[in-house]
Amino acid sequence: MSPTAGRLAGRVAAVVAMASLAAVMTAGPAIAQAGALAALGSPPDPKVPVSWDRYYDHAAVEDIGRRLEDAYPDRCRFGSIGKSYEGRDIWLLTVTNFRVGDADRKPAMYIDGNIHSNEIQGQEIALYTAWYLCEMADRVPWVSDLLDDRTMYIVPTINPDGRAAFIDSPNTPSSPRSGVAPRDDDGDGLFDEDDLDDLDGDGHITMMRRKDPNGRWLVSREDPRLMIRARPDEPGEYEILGYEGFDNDNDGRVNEDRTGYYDPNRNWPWLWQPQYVQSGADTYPTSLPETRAVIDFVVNHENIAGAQTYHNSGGMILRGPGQAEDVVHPSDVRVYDRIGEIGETILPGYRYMVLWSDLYPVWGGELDWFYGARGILTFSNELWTSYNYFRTERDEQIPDRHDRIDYRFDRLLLFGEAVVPWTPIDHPTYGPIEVGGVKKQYTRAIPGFMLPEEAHRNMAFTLFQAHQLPLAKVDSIAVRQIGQGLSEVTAIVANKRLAPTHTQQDQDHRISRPDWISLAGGDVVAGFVVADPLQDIAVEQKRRPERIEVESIPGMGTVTVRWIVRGSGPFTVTVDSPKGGVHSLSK
Amino acid sequence: MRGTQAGGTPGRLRRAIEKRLLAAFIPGIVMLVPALHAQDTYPYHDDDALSSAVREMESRHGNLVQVLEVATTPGGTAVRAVRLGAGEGAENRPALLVVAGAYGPHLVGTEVALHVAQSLASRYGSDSTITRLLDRITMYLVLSANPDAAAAFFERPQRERTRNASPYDDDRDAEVDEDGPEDLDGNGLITMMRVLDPAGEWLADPENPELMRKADPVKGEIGSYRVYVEGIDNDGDEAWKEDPPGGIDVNRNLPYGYEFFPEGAGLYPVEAPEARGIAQFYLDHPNIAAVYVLGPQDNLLEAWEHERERSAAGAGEDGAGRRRSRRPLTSVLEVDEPYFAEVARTFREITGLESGPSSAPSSGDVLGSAYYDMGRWSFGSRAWWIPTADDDSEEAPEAATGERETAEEDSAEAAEAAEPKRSHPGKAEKEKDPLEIERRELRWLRENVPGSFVDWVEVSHPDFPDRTVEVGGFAPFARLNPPASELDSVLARQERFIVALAGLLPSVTLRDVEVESLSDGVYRIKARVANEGFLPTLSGLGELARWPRRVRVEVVTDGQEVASGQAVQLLGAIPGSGQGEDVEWVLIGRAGSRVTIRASSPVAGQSSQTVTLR
Repeated sequence: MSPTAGRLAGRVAAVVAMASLAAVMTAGPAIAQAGALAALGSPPDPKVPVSWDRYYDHAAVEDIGRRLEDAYPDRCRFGSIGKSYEGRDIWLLTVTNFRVGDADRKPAMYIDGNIHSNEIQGQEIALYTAWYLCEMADRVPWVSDLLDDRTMYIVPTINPDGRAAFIDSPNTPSSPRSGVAPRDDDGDGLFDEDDLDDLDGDGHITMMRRKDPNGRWLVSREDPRLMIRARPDEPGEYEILGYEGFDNDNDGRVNEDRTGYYDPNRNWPWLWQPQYVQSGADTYPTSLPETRAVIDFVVNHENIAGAQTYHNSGGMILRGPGQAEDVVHPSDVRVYDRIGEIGETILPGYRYMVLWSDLYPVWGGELDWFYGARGILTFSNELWTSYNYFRTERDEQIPDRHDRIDYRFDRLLLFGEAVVPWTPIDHPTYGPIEVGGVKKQYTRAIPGFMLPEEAHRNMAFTLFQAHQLPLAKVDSIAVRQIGQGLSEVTAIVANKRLAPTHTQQDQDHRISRPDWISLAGGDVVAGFVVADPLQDIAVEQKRRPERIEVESIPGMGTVTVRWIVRGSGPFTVTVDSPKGGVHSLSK
Repeated sequence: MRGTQAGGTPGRLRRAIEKRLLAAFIPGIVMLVPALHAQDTYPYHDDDALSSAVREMESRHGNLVQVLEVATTPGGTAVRAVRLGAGEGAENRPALLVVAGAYGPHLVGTEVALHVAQSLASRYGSDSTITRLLDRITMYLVLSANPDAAAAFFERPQRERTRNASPYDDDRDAEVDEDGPEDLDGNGLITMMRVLDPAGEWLADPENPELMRKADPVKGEIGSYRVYVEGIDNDGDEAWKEDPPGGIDVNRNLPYGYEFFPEGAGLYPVEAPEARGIAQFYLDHPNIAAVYVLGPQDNLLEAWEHERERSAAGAGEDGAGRRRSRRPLTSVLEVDEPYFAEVARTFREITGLESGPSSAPSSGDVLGSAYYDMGRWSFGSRAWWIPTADDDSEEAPEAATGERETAEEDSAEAAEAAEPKRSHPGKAEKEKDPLEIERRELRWLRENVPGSFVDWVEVSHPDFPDRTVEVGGFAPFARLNPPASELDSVLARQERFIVALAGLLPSVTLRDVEVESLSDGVYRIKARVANEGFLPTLSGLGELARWPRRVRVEVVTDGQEVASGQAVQLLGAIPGSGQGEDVEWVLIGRAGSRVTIRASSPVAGQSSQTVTLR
């Protein structure tokens, strides 16, 4: 099938799925609040009212988490997976139906965000997911079923220090990407001694410009706040002097040893390489306490079968591998592709991409550790895309070099709030200059009125993945009396969803233990895997025949097992899959 | 799979094991072998003896010796570094780091490190060479980097162990550490076990029938034995000794060349607290200029070489024109190669050792990490090997490095399969009879260390009731560690080399500081920043890597203005042997005022001069 045809088929299927889903939703009571008709997709009367048009700090996340836990004690537990470098808790919301099954044995989806300090909305998407699931499970059967079958481990930010640094300090949209553990970036033996400086004290780090007849920059004709590069043969009128700051340590360089500097998303042990191969790698893999906290959590929760780690920006649904020589096995690629296709439908303007070949190569990235080391199917969504400004594709966007799409959107929809106008100041080295430019909440973070939609669509994509995690069920049991007090018990165990109980990566490297299918209710004489149910070819398992081991139950597939048992029943067959859950059936 | 509980064998299974063990202990013949650890044969220090030796050093040489904590093992033992450095300021002097015992069975490394620490501490103050040395440099000695594994030498039954005490489910059966070895012949040693079986792939060497080798079907050879590590299949899975106690091999857990998934690798690099402690030690002690690793990996008999094709580290594009990132390094940088060669020559000259078994790197070993991850000048030696006089020894196979046939592999077959994949970037191995080295080792051990080869003795075995089962083979540790008769000369040789290596550290000096008057109030200052040590202030890799520090040169003014040059500048690698780099500034200031020029580097010391503008 051509990629286009495949994508089209995927969209059709998704539309059908959505239609049937919508039918279920509308079947619920159409509750009208006093004075309001409930809109679909939102709780009309949430027990925990939260505004999703802002970015919450550490204390606020704790507050929302605790309120959710209080309001929905059977649906949400609030905790922590460890401490950050500066000692903040790395908050965890576990969302599932705690009245059904064991939360840590249900197939689980792990969700985090904000690994890069400035990429803040991942937290809001993750937090919105927890909130939506809690508030809507009583209204939408699909949600309630999801929480019966699945556990969601939601870590809104795995980088609370960096988040606090971004929120609390003057910054650009891109600073800091690093966490805050001090590093000597310029090799002078001092740590973080030459950071950005908010020269005009307005709480924003913007650009510095100086009037210069020999400069190579011009003021835009469309928007005087916007600087554009002069053509090669065109005179300019300004020079751009970089982000606000001065030479704090008198070494002749400006802003060269900032808060941090390492890339928390290059610190993961899978295919880690040192700084001279991979910029940002930091000192050794898992040198950061936040990296290690996540690794410990994931290693100790073998039920995690899928993961999402939210970044910004660019409108991408990324999967590994991060390097050409790394492998995602073809059978796992098929699962990724199907989820990715649906994702492109749920998220207009987003593209499903392979990290190394479609974006850039990465050594030591988080998503590659999840798949490579743990065999977990993992996506990383790059939240927010310029498509969202005017719902136009990149090539339809502003052709005029005197304008920029973000400045235009700011003028037309934010009425100029997003950009600090040029303001004169005196610089200790550069003399009279001006500072101005884009605020940190713009271009990568999302304007408030658009944030709920971005949150909902990305949540829907991640819930689709959660829905497609493996789900092992004992489908049927057949008992045949074979004389001499013996019974032959044949059980079909099915995986009702797209993802296998063990990815190929998991199987190849024996990462999680095999699935166990066991029989109770009689003395097992012999046990078999029926390798070929059509030809009825059985393969004996000599050791522990009462607990048959299978390497994986394929997505939307079955395995058949059989026992010769002394006794006539009733028999109970239990499937116990690390990533497919536990389920029993008796006959 | 990481274990979630220590001693995870359920009671039911444990009782079954005990029953089977009882059945096994009716051996046909009981051989009495002198215990290999007997103090007179192997006068090695267990952890208690190490601790008290360290305490004694500390109390006797308080002004020189400090003990630093590197890590606490999963077994609860402290990994310590002894710091030798006179008075205050030890952390600011160029330093040599010595790491011993990361490969658990390599006990001799610990003896060397302890001996050197004790000897230098007692020589300080009376021996002028040592006194000058320890006034100028600092030495950190990690005596035993993997004490959980080393402890197996002092336990009964004795077995070679490479892994620390973290519980680990090697065979992914959700039971932890449930199938370790048993001493079937009751001699206190875990050796090998051979089972007479026409389906086996192994045969007794026709020349030395006590040695086993794989039958070669291409040559028409027919196997007659299966070979396993001594023990019983405790968990009834028809695999023997596939889940022994313990988790991570510290010498496989550092980042460079780390491989996921092999036994002993742990779940990820630097997972083991011991490995993390070592990695962190470099960061906490930026003054470490060079590292000496005592263990199975060597680059002093055969120096590391640069290989052009293999180290094409650089950005590029793949065939489809897609961006490719920089590639990992697979050999040392060209600029560093001559220094590795020269230090190796020095080693051979000082120790008189000309050849010995070559050694393959193991994935994630301490020696490779010291250079490739941490950018330090890094050297390694095995310290001792069985002298096989009539050979020229270059061809020693990996069998002799201790990487094979440890008691931790589930079978000899698996042991062979687990040989390191990464080949040593060195001379090509010649095609040889694989048993040649073992035969010589056997001869030497028979002559010099009674009991170091256990003759095969028949035992009855519950797993093989109808077959002849024998236990025997090399005693654990014997091929890797010298007996008392050899130990003193090993310690003396190693001490000579370590002292010499410490003398090669970089040493920065300001020379030829001159003031030139350009006119009243305008002065040019010139100076030469020289390295009077032998090793450059940074390896080529250290220059590439981010964390090793450059030489910082600054002019400290007193109201003068710097008209040219930077007030602070950082210099890359300055070669040794007195070479240097010129620096100069133009200053605007009053005649008669003074400025100070200072050059400093954690790995090369500091030097400053104050001059008067005139």
